[in-house]
Amino acid sequence: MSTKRVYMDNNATTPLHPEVKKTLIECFDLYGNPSSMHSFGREAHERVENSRRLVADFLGASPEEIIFTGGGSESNNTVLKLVTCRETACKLCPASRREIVTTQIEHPSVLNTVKFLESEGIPAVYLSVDREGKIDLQELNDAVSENTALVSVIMANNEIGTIQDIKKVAEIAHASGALVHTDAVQALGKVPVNVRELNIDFLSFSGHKLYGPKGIGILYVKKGAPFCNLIHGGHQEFSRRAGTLNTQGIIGLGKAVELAAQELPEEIERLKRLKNRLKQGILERIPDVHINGHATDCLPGTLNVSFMGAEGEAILLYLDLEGIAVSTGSACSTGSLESSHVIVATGLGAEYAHGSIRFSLGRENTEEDVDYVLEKLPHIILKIRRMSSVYAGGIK
Amino acid sequence: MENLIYLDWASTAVPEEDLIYESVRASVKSFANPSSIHKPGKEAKELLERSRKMIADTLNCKPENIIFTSGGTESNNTILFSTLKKGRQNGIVISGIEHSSVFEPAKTLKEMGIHVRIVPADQNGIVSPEKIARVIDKDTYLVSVMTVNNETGAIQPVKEIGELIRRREEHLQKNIHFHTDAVQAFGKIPFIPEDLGVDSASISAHKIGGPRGVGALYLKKPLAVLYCGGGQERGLRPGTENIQGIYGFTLAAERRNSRLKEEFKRACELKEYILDSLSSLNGCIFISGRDHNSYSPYIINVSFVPLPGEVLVRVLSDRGIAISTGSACSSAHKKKRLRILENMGQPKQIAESAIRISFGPSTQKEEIDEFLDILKKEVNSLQRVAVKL
Repeated sequence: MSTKRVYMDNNATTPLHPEVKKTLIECFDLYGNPSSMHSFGREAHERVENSRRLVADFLGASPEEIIFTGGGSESNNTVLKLVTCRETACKLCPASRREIVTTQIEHPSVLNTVKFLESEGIPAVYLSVDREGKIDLQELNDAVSENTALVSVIMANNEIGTIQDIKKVAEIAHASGALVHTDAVQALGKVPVNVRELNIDFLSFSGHKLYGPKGIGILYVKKGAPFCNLIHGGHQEFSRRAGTLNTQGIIGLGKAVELAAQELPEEIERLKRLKNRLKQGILERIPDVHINGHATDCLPGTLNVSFMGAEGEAILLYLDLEGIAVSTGSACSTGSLESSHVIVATGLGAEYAHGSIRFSLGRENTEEDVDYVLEKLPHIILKIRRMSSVYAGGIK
Repeated sequence: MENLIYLDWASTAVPEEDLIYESVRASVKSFANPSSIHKPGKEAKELLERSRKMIADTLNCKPENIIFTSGGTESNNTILFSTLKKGRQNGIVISGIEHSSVFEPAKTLKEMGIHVRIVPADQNGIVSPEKIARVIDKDTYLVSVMTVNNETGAIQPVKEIGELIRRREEHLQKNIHFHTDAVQAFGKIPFIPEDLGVDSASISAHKIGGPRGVGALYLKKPLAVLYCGGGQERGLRPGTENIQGIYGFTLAAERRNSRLKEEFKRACELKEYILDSLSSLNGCIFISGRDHNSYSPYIINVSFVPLPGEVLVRVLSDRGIAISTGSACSSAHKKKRLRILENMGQPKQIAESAIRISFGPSTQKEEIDEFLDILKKEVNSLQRVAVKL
């Protein structure tokens, strides 16, 4: 067993930024309930509102357009359910618009929600993607109609990192009067996002993907867009999300966003260099590999590689023994033995698709980490391929 | 925050600083996604499951009965909205003194066509089991009655209600889900869901000194989910698990439950002391009773008629004392604020004058003395002005 530990699973979750940790510990004293009238509550309220401003600035939104939620999954569900809400008394969504248009490569929290809504009688269209994971804007154009309530497209895919042209998506969707949502959980802080420029109606984000705390998320709701609560109760969050505010989580998330705004321009370039080093290293050392995702429109730290004739789960476990943490796809889908729905959607052949590994680099990774992976990986692939009945190739 | 006196524990408790620090520390160490299958992921999973076991132990139930959520509100919403199952005739019964996180979902369900019956409490703030049983019919799917009311501290006869529900079930030949919002009970009074005969119960971390944004649902049997996503929490609640919150919650639950008896006794003494001290004040009417079997010793609801509760809260806040008029979740809406007391049939004047004093384990006797001194002075001088008006 190796004592060296390399964490390259930053798309599953990220370690807390040390500054965020400090902030979390510092805000112990702010224990008043932000909804209370007394001075304890008011102080907590001010810090929460400061966080809301930081997030709003980061997204190019107004503070009253930002709602704090329990996480990305909750944010996604809130949007999907609101436009198709079954409230007969609801005047917000005209009965004629009931359809959802989404993609085949959404995160489970969108995909499974749409599937659930389909079972409730809501029609849904799942847009296909090309080999690099891009949707076809013409297909989108053909799919949206006067029946479309919502178009929901993931901004950057969590498994292969492909970034979609959300601005174009919004243009096409709005032309037919549909609302637009994007799951930006993986994108925010890794690519520039400005909700005004993109002209979207809803955006989801989660704190723990950006070195912030877990259990806290964001939902951007454009001013004037229709809204129905997922969680009802107290009047918190402009009466849009009930529950005592998670002060610590909100302040921690605000700090994470503030740090991202400062550090990321440089960090993006650094991640790109590291990823390129890893990619080139793999291509030089291992034959019969396929790089998934888009060549240029891709998250700077995400590298998804398929190794022909090697089972992804086996690669993961051997790497784990060497202290290297990666994943085969979404952590939210682990436990299922099927190939990743994202890789399948790109049309990659089964002999490759089963051997897909996601390396997701983050702020703690170094060149040394990359070199360590490059030192261990070829032997592991070779070992697995030797045991394989489907692989007859060799190793460089 | 020196010289400030915090007596609004029912709204949120003073966090147990050492435990929250410990939970942040542990979550930095076990930071990975518990659903990941690599070693760091397994470490996080281990901490998650250890936490679940510890919470289950405090409730005397199995770990698989515990679903972690983002808090009491989400836990309550999950149960209420499980009523929306396709193709079923559904009716729900709630008490009139439920927290807004039960009451508002019920209102929404009513708008959606679900048959909602609301059973009022009596003037003492207690719901009659017979009245609940009487409105249960063949359409009833869910009954929700809280364990301890957040404004008056009134402890509801949950066990008796449960027994009557089971009898109605037998009579009607159908299953009825019995839920209790135990947010104000857990860690404060003995609370074992199995003993009370409930099918589900909501609990929250920040009411017992744990972190915000985390709670749990005790669930006897799996139920329809509130929202969809990954397969976390046995498919019943998606989203990457909030390890820091969950572990902090667990540590707080353990501490509260290990000291429950002695803290309960101390709270009883403090409560009696406050009641004795205030009873002679002009216009004083206690809404919370003295009997510790029927009222949580941690909550006192009192009116100084005709002084508006809101005025007293603001005056005391200026003097560095935090109390409330009722639920923080309803503090912005006057009509909603008075809902619970009005449901009990309390006259409007008493309801509008009500203030809630709530305390916890770190509340000191000296703080109570200082608070009582200030409160008496303020009440006396305000009453003099009120008389002149």
